[in-house]
Amino acid sequence: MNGQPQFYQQSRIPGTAARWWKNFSRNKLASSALLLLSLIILIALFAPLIAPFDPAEQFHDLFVPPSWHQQGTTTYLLGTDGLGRDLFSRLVHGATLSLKLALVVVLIAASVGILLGSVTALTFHWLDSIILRLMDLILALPSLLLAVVIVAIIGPGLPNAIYAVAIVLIPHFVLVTRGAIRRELTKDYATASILDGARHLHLFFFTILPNILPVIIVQLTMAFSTAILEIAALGFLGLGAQAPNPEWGTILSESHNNIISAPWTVTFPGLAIFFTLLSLNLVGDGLRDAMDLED
Amino acid sequence: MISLFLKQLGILLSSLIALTVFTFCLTLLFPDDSIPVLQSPIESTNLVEQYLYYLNQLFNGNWGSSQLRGSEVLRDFLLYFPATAELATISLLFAISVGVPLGILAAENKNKWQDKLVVSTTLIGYSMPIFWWGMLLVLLFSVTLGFTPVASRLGFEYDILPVTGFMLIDTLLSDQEYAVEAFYDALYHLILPAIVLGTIPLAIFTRVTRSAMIDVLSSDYIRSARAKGLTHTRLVWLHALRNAMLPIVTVIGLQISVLITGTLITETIFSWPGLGKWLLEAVYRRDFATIHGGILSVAIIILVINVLVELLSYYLNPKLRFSV
Repeated sequence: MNGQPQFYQQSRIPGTAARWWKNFSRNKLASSALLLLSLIILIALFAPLIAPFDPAEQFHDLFVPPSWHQQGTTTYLLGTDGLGRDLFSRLVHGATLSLKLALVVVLIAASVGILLGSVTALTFHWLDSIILRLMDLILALPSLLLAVVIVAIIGPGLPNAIYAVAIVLIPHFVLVTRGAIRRELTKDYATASILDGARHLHLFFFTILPNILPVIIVQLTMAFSTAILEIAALGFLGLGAQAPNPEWGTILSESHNNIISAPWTVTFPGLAIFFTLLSLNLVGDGLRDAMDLED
Repeated sequence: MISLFLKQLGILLSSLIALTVFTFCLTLLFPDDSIPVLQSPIESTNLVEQYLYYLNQLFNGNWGSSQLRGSEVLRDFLLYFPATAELATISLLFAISVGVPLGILAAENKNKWQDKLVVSTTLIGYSMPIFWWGMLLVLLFSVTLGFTPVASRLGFEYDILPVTGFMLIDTLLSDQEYAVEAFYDALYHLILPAIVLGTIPLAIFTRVTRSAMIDVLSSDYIRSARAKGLTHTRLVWLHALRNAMLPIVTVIGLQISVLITGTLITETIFSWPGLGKWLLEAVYRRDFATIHGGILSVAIIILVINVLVELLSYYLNPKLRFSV
């Protein structure tokens, strides 16, 4: 370095994050999925700059095919839908909406779920068994059915759909957090910390939390993918985002009836959902491998 | 074995009680008088007495009647259940009969091109939003190629008397002269919905079979069986599969819930007159008696199947049977 001779044999041991990153980047499939995911996030962030038109703006050209088609025009890159709205702009704005909604859902579910999971793991009394029973029951019910029921009670619409999907996702966080904490508590370093006199909170924040982080990160990625799918499914069933909203599932449900006359209005929104889910699932799998987690 | 059976029965009973408490709380959230049958007629009773009254009414088969059609919810359920059961069974059979051999194929050729192909296909299947997948298949096979019908259970030209509610059985029982053609028509109507509904379970079965088979194939008893000179087919299908079945059976049990979720969407796409369509219709029209009955019945089905699967895995695995 700087032309100076090196006298000591130096070997730098990479930190945990660096090791994870090294493992992750060795996995080509996961790395390319991360690239795709970053691209989607960038599109979502800069949607107003990328989309040529307003997502709700209606033109007089209905059902224009995509630009590479014989009747297509380059004005509308992916064609227009039944109300003459530019499909490309709607999908780009839909990316913002879908990712934002999924983020809110995951934040709600994760904060409630991790809190409940930690409480149940660190306390050993009746509260633990009650919460566990409740979570088992919620998990036994099909997730979409539960979301549909919640929406049925509190009424359709975006905010309610968000609550519904968040409630459905909470048990996964509770069980994963609880399991991970219980596993760590049996290890020697946790015992050492308890013998050192660490109280509940100190034990949790400084001893356990750093070690269950990998599990939670993977769970977050998976929950994000589930959230996007469930929100889109609710939108498709007409119970989530309502019609003029450019949410991907809602776009699909609107174009369901035009599937024969305008197949492109079905193909592209689906592709958007599919690639987002695929990249998230691949990144999640890659992270799990990189952090040496089982299952 | 009897003690195990009783233990599972206890689990089933306790989860059924938890479920009825849950649905009872749901009825409290519903608008007043939406299911009058389930509400205790005495005004000033406390919650516990109300719950007991509710349970009693459920046991007697008084599930209330639909606010839309006036028909009894329990009767409606029995009317729509066979269509969903038929669809779910066929998709499960499809997913198992394709998924398990694919998983075995991948495990036998671990890290070769067959394995890579299978693994990446399951990844795609796993990330497929099934409402879109269903529409794509309709577009390709029904609209473009004209192979299969677009929607519903049977062509309108056939008049089949419902006996069991299962179209495949009813068409064969029918004494019309076109019974056999009607059977094939019903089968054609089933193909696409069954594939759509079975896609995600298929991907999951393949994954689980593959990893279970890889574990089993590397174990000692397989090596000694191979050293003994057993043929490859016998080794894989008779010796290895038996032990790999355990995780597969567990996962099949878990997929029931996924299948029911899937029917909501699949039945919407294919206008399939089953439980999913019935429930969604009720949600759109805010028919609370039907919503309540639908959730309760579906949840009971799932809980019962879960217990059955648990018992089956005890039966398959002597280790589990004798360790408890």
